Amino acid sequence: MPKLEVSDLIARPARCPFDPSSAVVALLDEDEFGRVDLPLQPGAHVVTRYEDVRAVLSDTRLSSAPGGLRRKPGELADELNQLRLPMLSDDDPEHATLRRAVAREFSIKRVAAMRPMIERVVEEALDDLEAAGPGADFIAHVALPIPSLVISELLGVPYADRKTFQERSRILLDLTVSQEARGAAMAEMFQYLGGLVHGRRAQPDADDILSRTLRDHGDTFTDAEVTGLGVLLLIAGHETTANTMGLGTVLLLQHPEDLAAVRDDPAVTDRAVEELLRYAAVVQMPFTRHALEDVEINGHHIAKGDDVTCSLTTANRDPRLLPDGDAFDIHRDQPAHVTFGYGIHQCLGQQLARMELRVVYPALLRRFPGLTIAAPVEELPFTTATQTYGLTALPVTW
Amino acid sequence: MTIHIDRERCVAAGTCVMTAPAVFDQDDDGIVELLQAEPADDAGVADAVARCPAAAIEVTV
Ligand code: SF4
Repeated sequence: MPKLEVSDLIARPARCPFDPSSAVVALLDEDEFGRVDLPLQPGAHVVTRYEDVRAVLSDTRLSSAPGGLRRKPGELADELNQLRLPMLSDDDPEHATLRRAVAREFSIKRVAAMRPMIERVVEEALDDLEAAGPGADFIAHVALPIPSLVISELLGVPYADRKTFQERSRILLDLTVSQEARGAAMAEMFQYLGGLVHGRRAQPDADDILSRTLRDHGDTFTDAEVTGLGVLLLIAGHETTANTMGLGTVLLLQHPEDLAAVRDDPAVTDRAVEELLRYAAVVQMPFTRHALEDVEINGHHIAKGDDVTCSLTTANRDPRLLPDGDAFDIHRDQPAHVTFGYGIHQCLGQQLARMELRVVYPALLRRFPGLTIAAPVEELPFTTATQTYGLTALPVTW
Repeated sequence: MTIHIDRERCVAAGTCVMTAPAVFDQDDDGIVELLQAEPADDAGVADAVARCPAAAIEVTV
C-alpha cells in the first residue's frame, strides 16, 4: 500500500496550480488505497476514486466524530475550543437534530429570496475594488468580504459591529498568522456570538437565523449550542466560498473565449459555476472518518479503528466519472461532483455558495470588461499548507 | 415509473430540486417534497437519484 506524505494530498504540481499532485493521481490510476500520517490520525487510508469516495462519505459505519467518540449533549462549547465543530463532527442522530434546525435557512427558495441582498453586497465589494484602483487585491476587496458580509447579514450581526467581526473572520482565515492568534480569534468569535445569542434569547423577535432558531428550537438547544451553530455557519461559508471565488476568477480569465457568455447568459453562468466548483474543488480533504467496525470498500479492507481520508480533487476528475476530467470546460454536462462532499454531511450551504458565485461573476465582468490578472498565474500565492485550497492574494488590473 | 421519497433520510441539500425541478420541491423546512409521484418522462429523475447525497429517493418501474 503506497505511503504518502501530507503534502501529496494538498500540494499541487508546479506545471499547473489546479491539478492534483502526481502521488494521488497515481493512486487513482492504479486503483489503490494509500496511507498517510495525518497529524492526529497516523496511518489514515487515502481514497481517491469517485465511487470509493462516495462510498466512504455515505457509509454510516465510518463515523465523523473524531476517534469515533460521540459527544454528549452540552459539550459543544468545549468542542469548539478544541476546534471540533458541531454538526460536522457529529453522527446521526445528533447531526440530524442540529442540521434540521437550520436546514430551512438554506433551501433553494430561501436562497433565491436572498438574491437582491447578495447583489447589493457584491456591488459594494466591486465599488471597493474600483476605489482601490488597478493593481488592487481581488481577494481582500471582493472574495473575502462577500461571503463574510452575506453570512453576517443572515445571522443578524449589528451593522456597527461588522468591522470588528470581519477582522476576526479575516484572522481566522489567514493561514499566515499563528495557531495561537487564530485560536484567540476563534474564542473571541465564540464570545461575540455568545453575546448576540444571549441578547436574542431575551428578545427573540428579529428576522435572522439566530432569532428564528431560538424562537423555534430554544427549548431543545442551549445557548452554547446555538452559538456553536452560528460559529459553524460563519466558518463553513467563508474560506470555501472566498477561495472558490478567487480560483474561479483565475480559471475564467484563463478562458477569455467564455467571458462574454458567462457575463450575459444566466444558463451559461450556472454551468460555468458548476464546472469551476468541480474543477477547483477547494476542500481538498473532507473531515476524516473513523471506522466503527470492519468495512470493505471496493475490495479494500478498512479495519475497525482505522481513519479514512478522501481526495475530492481526484474524485472529481476520475475518468470513470468523466473521460476528460482534467479539462476545464464550462459547457459540459455536469456530472455529480463531490466538491460539496456526499452523504449526510454534504454541504448545507451549497445553494448559498452557488448563488454568491452566480451573482459575482457576471457583475465582475460587467464592471471590469478589461479585467486581467496582474501577475503570471504560476507566480500567484496559492495556499498549499491547508485542507482548503485557494489564493492568499490575486492582484488584478482593468 | 413511480417515485418514492424518504423524508426522514433527506438532508435538505436541494440537489434533487436543482436537477428535476418539475418533480421535486423543498418544503418550508428544506425537506424534499414530491410534486409528481409518476412523471410521464424521466425529466432528470435518474440524475436526481444519482445525485441525492442521502439516498432519499427511490424509483420503481
Ligand atoms: S437531494 Fe436528497 S437530501 Fe437533498 S433535498 Fe433532495 S431528497 Fe433531500
